[in-house]
Amino acid sequence: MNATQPNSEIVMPRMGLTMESGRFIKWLKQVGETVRSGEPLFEIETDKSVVEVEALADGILSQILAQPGETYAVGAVLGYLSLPGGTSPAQAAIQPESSTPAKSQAQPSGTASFATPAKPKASPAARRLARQLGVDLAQVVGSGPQGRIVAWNVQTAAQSLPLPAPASTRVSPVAQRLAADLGVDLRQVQGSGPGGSITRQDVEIAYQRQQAKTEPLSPPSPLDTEGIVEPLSPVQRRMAERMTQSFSNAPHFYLQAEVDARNLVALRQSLLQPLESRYGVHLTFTDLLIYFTARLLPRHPLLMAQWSEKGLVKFTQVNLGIAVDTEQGLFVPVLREADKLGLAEISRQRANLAERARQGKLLPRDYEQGVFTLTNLGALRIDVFQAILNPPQAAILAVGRIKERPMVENQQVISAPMFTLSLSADHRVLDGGKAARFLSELVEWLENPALSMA
Amino acid sequence: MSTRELTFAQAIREALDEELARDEKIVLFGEDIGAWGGVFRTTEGLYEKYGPERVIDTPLSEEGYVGMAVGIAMTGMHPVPEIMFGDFITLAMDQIVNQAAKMRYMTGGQVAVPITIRATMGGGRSSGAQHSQSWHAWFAHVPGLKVVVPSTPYDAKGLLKSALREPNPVLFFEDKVMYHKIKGPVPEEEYLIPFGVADIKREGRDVTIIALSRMVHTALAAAEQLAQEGISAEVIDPRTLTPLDEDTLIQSVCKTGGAVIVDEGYQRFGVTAELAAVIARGAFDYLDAPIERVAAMDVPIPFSPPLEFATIPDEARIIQAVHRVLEGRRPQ
Repeated sequence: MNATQPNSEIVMPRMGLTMESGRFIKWLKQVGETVRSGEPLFEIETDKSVVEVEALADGILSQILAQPGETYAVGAVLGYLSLPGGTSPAQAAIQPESSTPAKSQAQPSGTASFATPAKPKASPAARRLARQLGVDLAQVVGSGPQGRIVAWNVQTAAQSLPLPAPASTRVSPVAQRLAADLGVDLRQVQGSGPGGSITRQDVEIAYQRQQAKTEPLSPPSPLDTEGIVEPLSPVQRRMAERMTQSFSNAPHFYLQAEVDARNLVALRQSLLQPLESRYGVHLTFTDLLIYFTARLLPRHPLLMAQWSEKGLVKFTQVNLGIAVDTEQGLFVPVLREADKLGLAEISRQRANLAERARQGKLLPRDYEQGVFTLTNLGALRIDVFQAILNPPQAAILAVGRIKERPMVENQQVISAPMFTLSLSADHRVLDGGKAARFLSELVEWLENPALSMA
Repeated sequence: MSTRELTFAQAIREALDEELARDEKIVLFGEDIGAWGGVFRTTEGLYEKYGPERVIDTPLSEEGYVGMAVGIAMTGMHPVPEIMFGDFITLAMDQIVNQAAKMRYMTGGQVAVPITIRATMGGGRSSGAQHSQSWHAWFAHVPGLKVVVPSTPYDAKGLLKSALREPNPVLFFEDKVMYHKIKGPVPEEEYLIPFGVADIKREGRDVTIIALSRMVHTALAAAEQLAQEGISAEVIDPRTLTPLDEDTLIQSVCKTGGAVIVDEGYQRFGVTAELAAVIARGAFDYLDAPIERVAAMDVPIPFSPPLEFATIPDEARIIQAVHRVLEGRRPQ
């Protein structure tokens, strides 16, 4: 064990200009696990989304300080990465046999950027207690000044942390992480790997046994009227907060307009193949809506303004938010200066942002500074809906499904592809007339795209 | 035990009275201690009772009468020179440090110096930079001297009586603010308090406050306030600095996990530093936070009362120090 090996601080990153703090969600690595530069190391939630943060260097996650759900200032130390050659106490505790070869490796000295010593801060009393109780200090989060581990942190940890596996038992990092995720007590797991080491499969089998044991004990009771509380994910909580804030603060009003989509459908048809073959993009109706909306917005700047007590905040950059439905929840990535983008570029960027949103890989710059939002539930068979404003924006356009519908033309009922646009707007920023003129002009453009060139 | 209460000054006077009666080798020296009864009234009535040969008024000449006292101590008497303002003990430094403290060693044990030097300490009386200092740490630094710093009338009497039976030089520090302000039970029966035995003035479990002399009362008041926050502070009075009851201090800190050391002397290289070192070593594995020190600021003590009180430890500073020690620690 050698605590003086160089360690690098893992800090709360600044993801975007306005970020001052972030909520820590979880570690993606276990203490003692090897981390490669560029590998996702932990997840944080900023004001706008959940972000995976990558390791900046190769090393071993030697100490974790950040606790899930806690908020940390930008630059706050979340944990430590011991650089190659360093043997953290944690590593020694997990794989005692491996410490000797690790130590014998030459330590490249003078890694200037990682000059901070990272001995886990713990009071002498905490260290004594940790020795007595067999608690690994690297697993303990300190509540004392500057995160110092004090005695009661160790006491608490002794009650909550799974005891380290007996020194003779190796646990693979993957198995360890899986055990933590599934809540499997490693002490109860029989190792089947070399030398009795615990493998991923061992943990899975233990988990299945555990499930088999616990399931019959908790049958859903028909008399249970209290329901089951499922803890909120950060994205759910964030959505709830923002929507409540928007819906209770901004006086919403809604305008609806039907759109005759015959020309739009024809336009898309004519562009679909060429864009596919030339640019490799698949043009969607959403892309077309982005195109026309973005080009129209500068003529109606109030739709991009925002309410504040001091006055209306106006923007000139048409940064258009696109609502994306994902398994994790709703995300609104932003197409920057969408009015200056051609259709192929819009399509490419939109597809890229949507994909990254689904993978949970949006960066703050991907969703910051939107001034207007477009949301389309047509693909989900929704004909008409009214959206809650995406704060602090003053307008959101909800797009329904394009569908062949009966339409009266020249006193004849004909069949035509149609859809409904619903504009929600903040009445503090603009009134019905201004919103109506925007919506009406947009409908004109969509029904007669050539007008947009006028 | 009787419930009689005496002031700190009365307890000192009674100890001197009883010992003067018990041992005719005891003689008192000092400025205005005789016919006038002492400016702090600690020798009141003794001149009348024991006469001018045993309660001797001296000129303003600390070097002279302390030197004389050391000399008669070497002849087998037990002199008790009083330094009215402990600040001026500087004038007798050589007599104390180079003569009294060394004699037994340098004569191979042939010559003892049974002398009890009473000196005042403590600020808070707007007496200015030359009449407010607390120099007990200096003498605790010198081998061959014993240093007593009582905090209550009970302790003062019992410890002074022990000092007056000591065969070695004793520096007995009396906080002048306590003389008439601090009152406490003193039994009528005779008792002695041995040196080197600390007293737990208040039991507690979350933090140990070590304080001496008048600061014990400040610490107790702080502990009372802390109790209202749910913090249980133990207050320990070492009572003598040399010899020092290290065990009691260490055991208490092992129990509580935190220490705040309070002294009215200067912080730099002072009593708080020495006690902190003793605890850091003895209770190292039990410390849950850095040891905190609360002492006089390292400045000449101001005359202006607001400034003076700002330099001397008070309840608020002790409470802040306790909060620092307990930061992040859940009270049990």
